[in-house]
Formats: sequence, structure tokens, C-alpha cells
Amino acid sequence: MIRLVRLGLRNFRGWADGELRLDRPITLLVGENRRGKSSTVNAIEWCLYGKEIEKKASGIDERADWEVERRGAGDEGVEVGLTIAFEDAEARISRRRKHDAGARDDDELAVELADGRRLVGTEATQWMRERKLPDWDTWRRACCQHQEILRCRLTVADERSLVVSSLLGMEEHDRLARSLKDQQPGKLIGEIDHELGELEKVVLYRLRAPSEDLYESERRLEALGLERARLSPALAVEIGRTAIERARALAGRLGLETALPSSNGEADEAEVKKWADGWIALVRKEAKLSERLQSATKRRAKLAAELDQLLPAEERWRGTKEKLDAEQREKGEHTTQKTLLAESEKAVAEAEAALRFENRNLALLREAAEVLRAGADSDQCPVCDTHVSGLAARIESTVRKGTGERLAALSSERDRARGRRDVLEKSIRDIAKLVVEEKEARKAFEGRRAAIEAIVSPGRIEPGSDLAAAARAEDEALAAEIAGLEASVAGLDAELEEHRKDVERLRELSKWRASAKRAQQRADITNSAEWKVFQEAVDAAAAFAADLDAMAAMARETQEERSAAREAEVNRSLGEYVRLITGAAAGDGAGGDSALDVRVRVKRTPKGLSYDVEDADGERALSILNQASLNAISLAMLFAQAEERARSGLFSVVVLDDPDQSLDDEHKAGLARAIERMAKSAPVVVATTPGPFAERILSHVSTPRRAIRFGRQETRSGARADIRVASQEER
Amino acid sequence: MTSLDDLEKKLRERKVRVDERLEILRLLGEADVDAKLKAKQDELLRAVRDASNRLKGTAG
Repeated sequence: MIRLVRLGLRNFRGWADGELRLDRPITLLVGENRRGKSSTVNAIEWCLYGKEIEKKASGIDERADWEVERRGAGDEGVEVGLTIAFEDAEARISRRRKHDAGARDDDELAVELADGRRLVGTEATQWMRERKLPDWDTWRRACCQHQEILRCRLTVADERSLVVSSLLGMEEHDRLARSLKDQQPGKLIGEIDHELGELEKVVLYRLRAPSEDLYESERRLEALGLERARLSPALAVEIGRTAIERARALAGRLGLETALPSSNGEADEAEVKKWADGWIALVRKEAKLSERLQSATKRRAKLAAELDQLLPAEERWRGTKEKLDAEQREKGEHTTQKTLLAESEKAVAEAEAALRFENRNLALLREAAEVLRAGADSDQCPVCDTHVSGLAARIESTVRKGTGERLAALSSERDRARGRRDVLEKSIRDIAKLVVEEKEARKAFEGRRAAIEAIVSPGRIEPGSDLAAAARAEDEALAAEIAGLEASVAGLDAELEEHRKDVERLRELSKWRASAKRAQQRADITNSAEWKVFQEAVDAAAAFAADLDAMAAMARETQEERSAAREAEVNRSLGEYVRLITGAAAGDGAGGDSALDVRVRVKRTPKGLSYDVEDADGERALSILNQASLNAISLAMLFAQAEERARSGLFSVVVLDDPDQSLDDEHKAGLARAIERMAKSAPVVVATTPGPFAERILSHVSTPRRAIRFGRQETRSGARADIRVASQEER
Repeated sequence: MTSLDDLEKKLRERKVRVDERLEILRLLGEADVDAKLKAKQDELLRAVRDASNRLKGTAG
């Protein structure tokens, strides 16, 4: 059993400075109202719980405007120290608050141990937890009867359930069960399942993809003539070897001098593949079959075209030549023609000269006739004056007849000469034209011959031989060459086509091996280190969730088992305290008042356990009770809880602040008996006013006790009155 | 006997391998147990997700 030893106070509410000894099982704080009893009781709480008991954090409405520091305290700050004697040693718990401390500033909590150690802050808190000091909620339900919350512990259902839980010693179990239940490990399992589903989708998809690649590769290899069952790295070596042998044969036939690789194993694969990729281009370049075929074909085509034009050109030339020869035979050579033309032109000139002479004569005669006609004597010559009979008439007759005929003859002669000349000129032009035509035809013919001679192989044309025959012989030779080249190209193409397939086979085999390797790697994923790590992570998380779930169920079981085991015992203890307080004898209910025959009841619901107080008939009795009865039951429950805590080895103290409110004398006497019983299990501090209740405790109780009487508070100027201890007495 | 003692006793009665649950029992005995258990669950789930992501990367 623990004991309270002393309480030191400085500047706490109405206390300026003081120290109270609390080392008796019962400490009675006696004083009229407003003498500082409640402040003294509150000092114990403040020392242990600090800000938790202040303002709204306390859960007590009346604390809203609570002031901890004594008004007019100066800058000393507040300090309360509570010395507690455990079975093994004493310890002093103290709490200090600076004068200017803000709302966010922590108090200084310290524990001074008997061995001289001083724990502060979290170390002090941890020590208090290890010593199983109750937390604030447990304190206000199981250790301290506050005036403000005396009855609400019974009248408010949730509070009542918590009080009963405390009474049954179920707080820890309830908290544990709630903590485990609130964890909702099912959510963790759900998240793991979701992650597994996502992984399955991704991994399976990616596992499937290389399998499809592999299938496609095998299908293409089958199309290239390779059976699926034969596919292997050795097959690539074999294909390479075959391709090289085929290439060697081809190079021999074509007379190509080129280095070929060897294919003896997988190590040669890269080199073989590189050679195979370039072999076709190399052969085509070195063999020049296509160029030769193309050249021969072009030569033959040109020869055919020239041959087609040779005969017409020859015929045209020969025709032109024959025509020229005939013309020259008929009309003479060119020189002859020229001579005749000159003669003809001379004849024309002579005819024209004769004609001009005649015309002049005629003009003279006409002039003479005119002169004669104008003269006196028409027969007298005007030049020599010779008279010629009939001269004028004769002249006029000559002009009129004879000269005219002569002119006509001369004109005809001139025209005939001109006609001959024109014929000669035309003949000369025609022959000249024929000469040109013959020359052009001959040139064209000779051009064809030269072209053919250029095409035909030099040895094939003998002097005087038939060029056309030579050309036809050349054509036949070219046709033979072309046929040969075409056969060679076809053969080369066939061989290179096979090589091309080998290249494809090698390339596809390489892809197939890569796909097979990837597929194997994918298939090995479940053997990977990452998979093992994943499995371990899933196992750890799932195990933790399962453990939480199982432990939540077990915690619920232990909660039910313990509460069931404790229910009867607590009800017996509760009943005894109720009877003690109400003065009823054991076994007779509650002194005739059956409504006070209350008991706690554990309710088992799917959400968890809840607790209530019922009467003997299972009805909710509290709603019909008066305040005195409620106070009596509330106090009985507090005593029962404290006794249970003490019996369980937990820290247990009972602090009562005006517990006799609303109680009649009989109940006050019963309360004094209950306090005496309580004090056998845990120290009791009772604050009360002077009167029969206080006197009864002091005079009738056999347990060692101390009475501390509070005197009238001394008023200081400008500040609240200080609490003052008037006397202390021990019994 | 505390609630944790009761729980451990029940684990032993059920022949559950208590050693493997010691971490939970240890957490249950500490302050801020709810937050710590949640944090532990988060840590385990994070480990699962990290491992899963690595596995997805390997598969890709």
C-alpha cells in the first residue's frame, strides 16, 4: 500500500506557502467554506497532472476560468510538491510553473528519488507510468470525488460506462481492445490485396509479352524453312557454315578473290553475321554480271537499230546515184552542160543585139520619114540634099512592111535562144540537186556502216566482206552472250536468294535467342531476389495484420472474461459500500429501499463491451433516485474502485471534497464507516466543513488520522486572502 | 495482471508463437500506441509497395 507523506505548496491559488503532512491513512481537511480546502485538494491533482486539470481540458465545466497562480505572488512562480511513500522508498513529485509562463510553455515536472536521482520531463512522466500512477481520466473516476462531477458520473451514460469500467478494473483492457480494434488491420490486408492485383496485372502482362515475341519469331523461322524443334544456337553455326560453303563455290565460279570467315562455333557468330550481311552486295559489285548483261543488251539493241537503217540508207543512196548517172548520161557531163549554156547565152545576146540594131534602123527611118513629111520636098534627102523620087514613100513603105517583118523574125530568134538557155539552166540545177542528194544519201549510208563497224567486233569484218552479214553474225554472238549472262545472273540471284534467306535465318535466330532469353528471365522472376523481398514484405505485413486481428479478438475475449470474472466481486464490494453508506444491514437489500440495490452490468455488443448500472431487477434504477441516493451510490462506486485498484497493486488514493453534500445524518455516519474501511486499503484525504460528519470521523474512526483545520484567511491589501492552517491534530 | 499480461497469456494458451508478436506487444505497452501501430502498418505497407515497384521494374 502506498502512502501520501506530505504536500508542499507555494503560490498555488490561495496558498502563499505551506506544507501539510498527509502521512496518516486518513487526512481530514476541516474548514468553513472559502477557507482553501478545495484548493488544497486540487493542489494534489495539479502536482500530478498539471494542465490536464485546468480549464476545459479537465472535463470539468467549472474549471473554465481557473487560475493556478496566486494573485500577487510576484515573480516566484508556482510550485507544488507531493511526497509519496511506496513500499520500497519515498519519492517527491514536484511541478513548477514560471510566473511569466505562456499557454504553450511546459511546466517543470520533476521526481526526486530517495537515492538522490532527480528525473525531469519525460523521464519523470515515464517513471510515474512505471509506478502505475493513474492518468487524469482514471484519477477523476477512481480516485477523486469532485463536487462538480459527483453525480454526473452516474447520470451521464458514457461517463457512467467509463466509471463502471474503472470500477471493474477494465480500463487497460478496454483501452487495449479499443486500440487493437481501431487499427482495422482489414484495411492493410485490402491494400496488400490491391497491390498484389496491380502487380499481377503488370507482371503477368510483361511475362506474356516475351512469350508472344518468341512465338512470332518461331513462326517466322518456320516460314524460312527451320523447324521449331531444331531451333538452337548450334543451328545458327550450321547455317553460317552452309552459307560460307555456298559462297565459296560461287566465288570460285565467278573467279572472285575474297576472304571468307569460318563458322566453327558460337564465338564466330558475330563475324559470320557481319560477313553474311555484306556478301550479296560484295558479289554483285565484284561479279559485274548485271553491268555486262546490260552492256551486251544495249549493244545488241543498237546493232539491230543500225541494221534496220542500213539497207534503206543504201537503197536510197543507190537510187539517187542511178538517177544522177542517168541524168548526166542524158544531158551530158557538167562541163558540157556549162559549154552549152554559154553558147546558148551568146546566142541570146546576139539575137538581142540584132534586134536592137533593127529597132534603131527603124527609128531612124521613122525619123527620116517624119522629116521628109515635114519638109518641102519629100523626095529630097535632108542630109545630102539629093533628090530621090519617091523617097518618102519608099521609106514609109519600108517602115511599114519590110522592117516590121524583120523585127518579128529577130524577136522570135531571141525568144528561141532564151528558151534553150532556160532549159539548160534548169537541167544544170536539177543535176546539181541530184548531186547533193546523192552526196547526202551516201553520207548517211556510210554513217550507218561506220556505226555498225563500231559495234561489230573488229575481227569479224574482213576487207570486202558483207557488213550486214558481219552485223548479223555479231547479233547472233551478242544474243548468245546475253543468254549466257542472263543464265549467270539468274544462277547468281538464285544462289544469293538462298544466301539472303540464310541472312534472314541468322537474324531471326538471333532474335529468337534473345526472346527465349527474355522469356526465360521473365519466367525466372519468381526466383529473383526482388520477388523474395516482395514475398517477405507481404508476409510481414499480412502477418502483422493477422496478428492485430487475432490479438484484437483475444483482447476482446480477455476483456469479456475479465469483466465477467470481476462483475460479481465488484458488485459484492459495491453492495457492501452502498450498505455501509446507507446504513442497511447485509442481506436486507438497501434498508428497504430496493432501488439502492444496484449492481454493475457488462453489456456485450458487436462494437465492444459497454457498462451500466442497474437495479436488482435489471432495470435502470438511477433515473428515479434522489440526489442523496445518487451521491451515496457514486461514493460507493468510488470506494469500490479505489479498493479494487489497491487490491490489484495499482496506485490508489481517495480524495473526497465535501462528500457529505445532500446526505442526511444516517448517510453521513455510513460515509464515515465507509471511509474507515477505505483507509485500510488506500490513503484517504477528506475535505469537509466543521460539523457532525467531521467529528464522527475524528472521534469514531479507529484508523490513524490527522485533522488539519483551516483558519480564517488573512486578507492582504490588493490581493486575495492567503490560506492559513489554524491547527493540526493527530489521533 | 495487466491487460497485456492477459493477452500474452492467451497467446501462449493458443500456442501462438509469442516471439513473433512481441513487437506488437511492445508497441501496445508504449505511449501513443494507436499512432505507433498505424505507423507500423504504414511502414509495412510501404515496404510492400516499394518491393512491388522494384519487381515491376525488373519485369519491365
